[in-house]
Amino acid sequence: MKSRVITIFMIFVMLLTVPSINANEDGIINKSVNGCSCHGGGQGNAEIAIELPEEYAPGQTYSIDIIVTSGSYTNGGFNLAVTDGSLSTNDPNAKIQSGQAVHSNANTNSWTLDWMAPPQGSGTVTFTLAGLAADGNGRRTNDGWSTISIDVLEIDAPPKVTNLQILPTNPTSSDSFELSYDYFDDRNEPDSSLITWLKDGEIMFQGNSETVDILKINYSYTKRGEVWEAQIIPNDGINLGEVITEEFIIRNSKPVISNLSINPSGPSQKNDLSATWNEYDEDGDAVTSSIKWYKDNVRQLELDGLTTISKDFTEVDEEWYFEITSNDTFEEQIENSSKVILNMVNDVPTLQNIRIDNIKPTTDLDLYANWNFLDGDGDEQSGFETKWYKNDNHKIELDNLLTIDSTNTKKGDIWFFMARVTDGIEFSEWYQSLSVQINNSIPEVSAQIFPSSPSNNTNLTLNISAIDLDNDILNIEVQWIKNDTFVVNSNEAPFNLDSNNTKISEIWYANITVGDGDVLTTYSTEPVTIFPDLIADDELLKDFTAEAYLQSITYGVLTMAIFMLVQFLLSVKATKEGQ
Amino acid sequence: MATISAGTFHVIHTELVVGILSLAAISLVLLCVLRLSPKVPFITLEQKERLVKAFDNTQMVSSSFGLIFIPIAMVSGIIASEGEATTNPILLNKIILSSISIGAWLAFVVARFRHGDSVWETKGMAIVHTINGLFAYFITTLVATLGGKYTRNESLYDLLPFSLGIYEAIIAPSWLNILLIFIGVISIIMLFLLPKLVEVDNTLESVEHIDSIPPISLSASKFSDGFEWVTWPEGSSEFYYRLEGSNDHWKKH
Repeated sequence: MKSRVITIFMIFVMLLTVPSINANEDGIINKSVNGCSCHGGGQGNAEIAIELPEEYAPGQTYSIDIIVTSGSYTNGGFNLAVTDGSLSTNDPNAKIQSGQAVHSNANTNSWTLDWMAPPQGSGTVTFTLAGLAADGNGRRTNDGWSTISIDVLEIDAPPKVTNLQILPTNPTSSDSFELSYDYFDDRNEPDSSLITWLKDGEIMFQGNSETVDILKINYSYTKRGEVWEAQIIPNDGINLGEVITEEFIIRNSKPVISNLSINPSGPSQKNDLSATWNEYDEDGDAVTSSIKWYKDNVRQLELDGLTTISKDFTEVDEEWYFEITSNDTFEEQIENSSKVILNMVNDVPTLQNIRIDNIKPTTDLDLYANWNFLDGDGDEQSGFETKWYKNDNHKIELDNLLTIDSTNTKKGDIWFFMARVTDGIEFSEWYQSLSVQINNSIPEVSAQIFPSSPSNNTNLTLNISAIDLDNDILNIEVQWIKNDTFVVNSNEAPFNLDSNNTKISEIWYANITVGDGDVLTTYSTEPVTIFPDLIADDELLKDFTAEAYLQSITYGVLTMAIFMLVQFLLSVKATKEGQ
Repeated sequence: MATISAGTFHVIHTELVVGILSLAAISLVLLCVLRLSPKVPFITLEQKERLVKAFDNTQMVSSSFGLIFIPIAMVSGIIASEGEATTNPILLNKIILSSISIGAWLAFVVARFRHGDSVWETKGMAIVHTINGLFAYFITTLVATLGGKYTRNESLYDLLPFSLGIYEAIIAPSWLNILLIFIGVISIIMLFLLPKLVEVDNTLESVEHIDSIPPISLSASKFSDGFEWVTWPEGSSEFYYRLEGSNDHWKKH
């Protein structure tokens, strides 16, 4: 330790003529500050030397030498007080009194003391010393004395880190963990400790205490079985403290069971109970799970393993929950679902999307009521009531119908319906559909050409049937088509085609276009082929029939005769050649 | 008692006629090939003769039965047409073609019965006989397909590159038809009588001739070393021979 000798020279005029006196034989305490004022006239006429450390180490004992001189005087006394620490001495010329050191006789002007420094954190200790050099004449004159006050600083100790912890303790592979510690510095200098994280002996992260998130490790960096170590080197910016480490092993994560729920969440006596949950294992282990059901906190052994409990097993007011036990072969985890109570409180059904199915109905289309049935407790729709309104007038005769026949509608009508449904327990409120307007119907048209087998002398008659359900006035236009080529156009009845326009083997058909003022619809007749006109009237028909049969016989006879003749001639020829 | 309409009855008989006469036509074609081929690969002469016999019998029986059913089909078709048989050109043509078909098949059957195996004696007779049968068959199928044309306005013969002219029918005057029928009937009668007249004039010569040379159609009684052998007159010790399968005239040994 660097020591310093403080020497104060008190220059005074030594009056050699003044007889000297001795110091009080027994030292006096509480004089270290004000001095030995009872020795008149001598203030400042002594030189005091005391050897003290510049800084003290807590608890360490220091030897203190005190010397008081004034001229040639060899007697004297002193009073040394300290603000902290404790004084002791083995010097026979000194003693400790009320914690202060004083001389025990006046036979010397130098003393040796021991001072044990106070504990760490005590701070600066002030030493006050009064020293007297006496001439030894027994009077209080001609003696010289002085005082001195010296502050000794406490040594700057390295910072310390204590109470090092990893939180949570024994982290698993699914735990993010955090380093916690207490930092102490005797001079309250800020914490600049160096923090190092090691995984299986290799440095993973490093920084000082001010590094962002250096104290936290996310679980995503860890796996089961890894050995992690947190290492802290305390640092107050000046001194480095003792290295502190904490080593731990990443443990197995238990399977995670989550989102346990019973469906429906508000069951009634009509509902089956279905258990759903999610399971996950951070370590990727295969997880096996088992389910147990509890009714009114009593396990239902016969239901073990079932994820759905039939309503046959449940009664109103029972309280049900299930327990899931998941095992990843290392550990098992058990979680309970929230409890549900079966109650008789019925959810009133509601309707959604109530509508008339055909958005743009026409006179020829029926109206279909439709809706989506909703029931909170899963009941089925067991009945319904409807009221149909035409132009805002309730059509009582159509009550409770789902389908309105088209005969009830006509163009321009505005229709809507109201409906309510029941789940067998309660009816819903009434709901109203959007209104629809009955639109114009497309005219219906059909036509045939008569006769179906016309001759070149036959007029083609077009029988047209055109119907408009809206009773609109229909405009009919006909196009006669010959061999797929447009020939004649007509928009005035009758739409017949004169035989002068037709020839044998031509194929004719008609395209009919019917309009009701809003829309047009077209129809094509079956084609007809023009045959030769063989018969002019009934009388000719009769004669012709006889000739026809006669001619058929003629052809048959001649055919037979010709073949027989040829065969005969050839046979004669063959006979002659054979001869 | 359940009844069926004339239309259904007509369809049944039409199918029966076409089917049975198809069998006759197929047998006829195969018979013609066998008769005109000196030797048929892969079969022996004995097997060939058996096949010839079988096809001959088949075509004769089939065409004979076809001749029975054609008139039935005609009558039922006329009834089913409900009066249109002679007013619609298609149906009218159908009747005329049916008569032609009957005439052709009659000529075919009569020729076979009259001339026997001799219809195959010369190549000319064989070809004419075959043409007779195939013509009759073609007319038969044409009649059948006209029914399809009438009811469904389509026919297999629509695929032909030319028109068959079935939409028109030409009717000759009655007197002309009667005259032609008369000529035809007289011709047929004469054709039946002529062979007997010719036979009387040539009796002696024919007998001598028949006695001296065995007919070509005579089947061999023995096969030896690639030759066919017969004795003629039958029971005598005169031997005639020809090259096996040649169908040539017999030569005296």
